[in-house]
Amino acid sequence: MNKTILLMTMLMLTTPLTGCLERIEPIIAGEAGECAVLEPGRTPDGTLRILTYDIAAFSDEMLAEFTNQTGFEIEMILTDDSGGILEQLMQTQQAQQADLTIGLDNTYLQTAINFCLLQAHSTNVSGLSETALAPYSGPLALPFDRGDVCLNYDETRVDGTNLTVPTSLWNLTEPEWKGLTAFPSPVTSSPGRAFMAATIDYFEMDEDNTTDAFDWWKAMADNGAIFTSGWTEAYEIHYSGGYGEWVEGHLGDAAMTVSYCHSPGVEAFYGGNWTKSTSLTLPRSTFHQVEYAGVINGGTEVEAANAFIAYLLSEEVNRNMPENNLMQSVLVNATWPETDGYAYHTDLPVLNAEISNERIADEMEAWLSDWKNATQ
Amino acid sequence: MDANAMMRASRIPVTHWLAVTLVIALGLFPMTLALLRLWAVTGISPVQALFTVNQQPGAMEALRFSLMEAFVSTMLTVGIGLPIAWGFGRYRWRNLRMKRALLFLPFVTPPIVAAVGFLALLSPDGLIHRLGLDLRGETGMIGWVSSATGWAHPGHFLALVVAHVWFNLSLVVRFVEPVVAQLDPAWEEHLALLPSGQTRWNRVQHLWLPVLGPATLVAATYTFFFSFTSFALVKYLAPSSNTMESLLGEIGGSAGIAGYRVETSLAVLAIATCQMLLMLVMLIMAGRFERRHSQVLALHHEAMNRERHGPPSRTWSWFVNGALILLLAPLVSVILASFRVRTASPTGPNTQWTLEGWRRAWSGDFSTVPLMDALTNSLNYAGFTVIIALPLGYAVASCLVSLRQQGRKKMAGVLDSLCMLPLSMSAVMVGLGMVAGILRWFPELFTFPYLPVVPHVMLVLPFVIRLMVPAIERIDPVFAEQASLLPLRPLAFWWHSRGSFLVVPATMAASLCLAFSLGEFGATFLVVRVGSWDSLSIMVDQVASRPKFDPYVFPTAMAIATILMVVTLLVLAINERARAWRNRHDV
Amino acid sequence: MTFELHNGTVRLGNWTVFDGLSITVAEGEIVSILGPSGCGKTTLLRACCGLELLEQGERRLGGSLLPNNTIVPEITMLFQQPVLYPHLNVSQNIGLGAGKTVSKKDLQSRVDTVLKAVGLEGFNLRGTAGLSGGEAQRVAFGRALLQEPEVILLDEPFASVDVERRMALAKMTRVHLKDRNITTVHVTHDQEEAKVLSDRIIEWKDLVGSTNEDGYDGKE
Repeated sequence: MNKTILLMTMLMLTTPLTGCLERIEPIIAGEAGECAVLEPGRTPDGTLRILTYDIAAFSDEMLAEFTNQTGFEIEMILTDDSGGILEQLMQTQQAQQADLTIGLDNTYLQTAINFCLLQAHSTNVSGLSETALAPYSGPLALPFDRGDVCLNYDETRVDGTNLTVPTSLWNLTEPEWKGLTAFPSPVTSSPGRAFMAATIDYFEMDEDNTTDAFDWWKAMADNGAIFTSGWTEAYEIHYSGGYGEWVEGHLGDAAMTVSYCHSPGVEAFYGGNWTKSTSLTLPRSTFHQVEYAGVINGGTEVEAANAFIAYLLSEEVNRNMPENNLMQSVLVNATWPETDGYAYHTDLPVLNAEISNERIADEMEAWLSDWKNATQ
Repeated sequence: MDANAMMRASRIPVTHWLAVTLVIALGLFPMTLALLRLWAVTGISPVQALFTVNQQPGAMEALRFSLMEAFVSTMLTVGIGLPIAWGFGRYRWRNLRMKRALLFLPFVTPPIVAAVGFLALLSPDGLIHRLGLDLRGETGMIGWVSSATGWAHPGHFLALVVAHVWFNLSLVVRFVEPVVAQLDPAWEEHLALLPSGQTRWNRVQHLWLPVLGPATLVAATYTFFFSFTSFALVKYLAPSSNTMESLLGEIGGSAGIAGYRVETSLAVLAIATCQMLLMLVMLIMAGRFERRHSQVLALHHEAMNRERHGPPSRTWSWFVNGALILLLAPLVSVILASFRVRTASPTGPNTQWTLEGWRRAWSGDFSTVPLMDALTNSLNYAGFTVIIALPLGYAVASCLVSLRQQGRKKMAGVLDSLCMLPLSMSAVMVGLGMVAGILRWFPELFTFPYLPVVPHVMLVLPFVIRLMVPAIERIDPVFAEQASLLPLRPLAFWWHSRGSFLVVPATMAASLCLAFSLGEFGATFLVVRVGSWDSLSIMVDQVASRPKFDPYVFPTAMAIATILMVVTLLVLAINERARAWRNRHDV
Repeated sequence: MTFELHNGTVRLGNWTVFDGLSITVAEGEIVSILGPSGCGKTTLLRACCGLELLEQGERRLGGSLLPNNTIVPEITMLFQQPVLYPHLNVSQNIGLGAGKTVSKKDLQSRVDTVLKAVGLEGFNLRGTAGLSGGEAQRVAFGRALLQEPEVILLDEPFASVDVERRMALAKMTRVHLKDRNITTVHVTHDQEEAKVLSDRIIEWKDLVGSTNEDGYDGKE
């Protein structure tokens, strides 16, 4: 009797698993880039589900106001970062549970498009800056904030006496910089990924045709560069120029790290108009990052998603991006706040890396592999 | 129970078999689904992938690091924990229940809270730094060790080991103290009268080692296990290193997606399979040790023993109370951090005391739910975890005990190990398996508010079973025989012959379930989470992981962590009350 | 009622405890079986009440055949160590012997009567942990009395009682058993106790040595 039960139990357990070994094919765009619109993944219930990461852009009041105006309730589905958003969309492609995604950046957007993860929005928006629309201006996503990824350094250490301000990225491979740089890994970090993309362009466009970005990365690894899994660890723990100084566990061994050109402005904004951090804006060493909102292909509350995009890009919401989300607004004539030295300490890039979304999508996997090999 | 009924009762009820099936399925399904998904994506089977482990970037270093830090952590934990357990179990201590609860608190503290607490102790102002050990910056003596040996980060390694000892000390005490407390003193007295018990070392050799050995081995195995699978502590305390679990956590998010980063899927498949095999071996060993350990020694009334040995000597008092204070130190630093804000300035960091962190924690924001909502979520998840895990765990334990009583020990052993499966699985694999499974069959479950209860139940079930099995085995069968001779209804029969004896273990199991559930991330098992479901422990992680340009972010996180610790302590205090009740009603 | 065991055989593992054993106890009779420790007396009692598997043999109560290896409410047993439930007080332990349909008021009055009968008046709310051996066995006995069985099996019931009180307890037990005309099988190794308690004493060696102690030939 017990053996029978056991046998039946095993059958019960294993039968549903048959068919799990079938080849899973991803849904990808056709030759002309066309994608089928997928069936909604759930039943409509009047709640807009937004897939995003832990960003502080949305205050209670802001979201309550949206609900007041439109009648749609909001539910946030949270993941770690931009990469996490892409991965989640891919995992749930067959049955999307969210309706709107906010936070994919331009290093991930094309991949999302290639995998048919987004559908055309119907939002009528005007007043977006050309800079924000430059990486992508198609119908599948709209920018909602932007910033420039660049190197930040500690002015008290890189003062011309102890360390000199680099005039080329190759300076960072010299002995005086040994062990003094920290980089978030492009495999696991969005800013890290953006910076790596910038180095591709930087070394392609420099005068030396014999070396490329990965020669530099290898030299950096040989010169004791610290690689972390995320931006937080590099900035808080290792970088000596930022707020990490008063964070538990701070090491402060790195005088330079990857962040945003406006990070010193944010430091000053919260630090009473004072910071010892500033940006290194060598031409093509900075990357113009744009973050997007897009209606998910297979999302259910499409109308609500479009309404939220319009709301996100409205004057009263989007102008506050620098304070609420620590990124720049995408509206025309967007400026950094003057308060507490935010604008004063924000650095502007000289020339951002010029590297298209399409190229990033096509070559990123190969770059990541080369990067891993170079820095192992 | 008559002879016929005994034969029938020794046949296990179908409901118990169903419970065993469900528990095993709960563990097997996600694991199997994850393996199958990765197999489908990579085209390589888990066995084939296993042979590529040494080719996966960082895998061998992670394996070496895991083994080394787990081994050292275990040795140190046992070395420090044994004397504490012995002293704790032997003497009559004041406020014993509170001390026990405090001793267990580290085990159920969320790793992020512990990590922050430890980082505070390691900082230049911190206690450990003031003792001359710069484990964080690795200057001074630690720096000398590093340069002399070529060891890259000895300080970080030590910090991690100390944190593991902190976490797992209570395991040694939990397993060993009851043996010391309840051992019949006649054993020691008689030995002291024999030639081979004349010296202290002889008594250690001939009595304490054999008696405490199995319990110590069980505790050591679990300590090794928990240290091996360390994740969050490694991230914070030894950021330049990886255990296999933390490596999987780093790369696992992009695994299992067809046509995207297939090499990551292969790496996850190889590393997870390797880790799982190692874990299974350890679990089977732990199970064997534990079965030997649960053989009954000559048990004596605990309170009477303590009375006999009296209060602890000053040395013991200093030692045990000192250990307790040190155990609390990281947690106290978390509480202090919730009232303190630090800002940068041209002259260095400024410190101020403030309630702003508490105010922000209380009110929340849409990106974080208000504190009371998070607490409600936590208690709801914990409550449902108990409601599901307790009956399931009882049914499985009952089944295992019946199998052993029937002489089917091998089958009991196999099923026991299978029920422990969730402990051996990487969180990444469980998350992937759940996503794959839910997506395939029940996509609407993604937004089911109580979905996080599933990984909570998976995690606590092995502990419930571990508690219930010896509790059921301890019940004298004569109570069932007597009850069978009385005119009792079936439910009354069960209650008087078994149920009433399990009230205390069930209360203890419930408290443990609550404590584990309160401290469990949940999100570590799920790739995404719905923001309004956030529990306290998730909120702590979420807030503490934010960029801290705004200096109030950190105290806010610590305020939430403090609430979490207080609630957990309350739950553990209930646990100890239940245990005290048992001692008053000893059979 | 008369209690009969015919041709009973019990084996425990490789040990044949007894083979082809028969015993008949008349209605209201108290029979003591005298034998050394470990000879199988307890096993005999357990087989009589259905707690032990009778490989062969049959039991009869009042002449009617009892189903094999089944506990029947008419037969109860007092264990050597009194089995009291620690989560219940004295009154509640005794109350377990009452039938399923007794009202609370009725139950309380019956429990009080029993408590008085066994000399434990005022013990209602006492916990079981602090009871002496004798007191505990009296509670167990009181519970058995409340069941109003036809047959009581006593397995060395006074073993945990000190010597002085043992005889007093044995006398008290006899009084109650006789009052209620309960057929009793009592096993012990104490001859004095057997003399005080019982109507008839059988030696274990005689019981296992012959198949028909009382001449019953197994026919209806």
